Amino acid sequence: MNSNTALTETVFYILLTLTKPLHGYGIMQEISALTNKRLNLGAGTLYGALKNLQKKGWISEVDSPPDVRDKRAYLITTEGRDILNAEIDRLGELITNAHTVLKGEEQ
Amino acid sequence: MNANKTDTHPQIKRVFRAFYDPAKEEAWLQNMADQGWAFERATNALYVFRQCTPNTYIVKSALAENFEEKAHVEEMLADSGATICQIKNPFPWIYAIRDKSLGDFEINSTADSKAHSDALWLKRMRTILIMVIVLIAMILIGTPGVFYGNKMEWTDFLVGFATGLAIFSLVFMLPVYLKIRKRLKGYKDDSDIYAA
Repeated sequence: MNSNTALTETVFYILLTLTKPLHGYGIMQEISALTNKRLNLGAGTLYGALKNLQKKGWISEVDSPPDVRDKRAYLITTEGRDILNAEIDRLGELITNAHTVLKGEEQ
Repeated sequence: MNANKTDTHPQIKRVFRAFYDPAKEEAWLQNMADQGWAFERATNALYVFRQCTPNTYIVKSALAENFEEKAHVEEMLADSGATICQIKNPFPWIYAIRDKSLGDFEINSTADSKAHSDALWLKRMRTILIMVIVLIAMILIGTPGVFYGNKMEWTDFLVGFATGLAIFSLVFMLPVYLKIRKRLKGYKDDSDIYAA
């Protein structure tokens, strides 16, 4: 992946929630809770994103957690974790630069 | 289904109706639910509704890429408390109905995924339109031969019927096809703003 390419909000949150194994609806619930119900992913949207992320090798299917044995679960891969960390750094830089520029404007 | 859980003797309503535009169909199904008729199942153009409390349900629909995707998406929707409506259709359509008290829900929540679902339907419509155009062309080419005889033959009736059906399909499908294509472009423009 090009390090200058930004992740979409959907992909960012999927990768973030998959730092622990979760099934489809678990991902939807986790993202909704993290964003105070601002971002509610549709099941169709999530399925498409999961399929793409699996194809890229950023997430993989794993054994389901004990409470949901019959459902497929997903987990971030090492490559996915690198992408997520790079995006967190990029977002951090964005925020730092914004604060620096806006503070300079105020002075 | 959940739609009748509060009704002691729910009534059933059957409506025969055909739609080419999925958004129009979804709006109609929602309107039926708001009037007290919750969508339960459908066999092609025959829709079956069960009486429910008006304004209680949200109805959503989307076209999946294939039946495997349909099954996975339906599983997630069912986990979220939605009831899956049973559909007998050659295409992998997904229909779900959920109690309004559980909050709003979407099957495709981003401009990209909405565009993808519309693009899938547009592709199928294009195939049907091409088949109709080919049928009309075949009829036009074959018609002079059919009318060589002096008396009316059963084939004349068949040719007339097929021509009428093909032209009817073309006249009704083409505007809807163009409308969906325009909507698809809108989704793409929305998506591009954030991707720029």
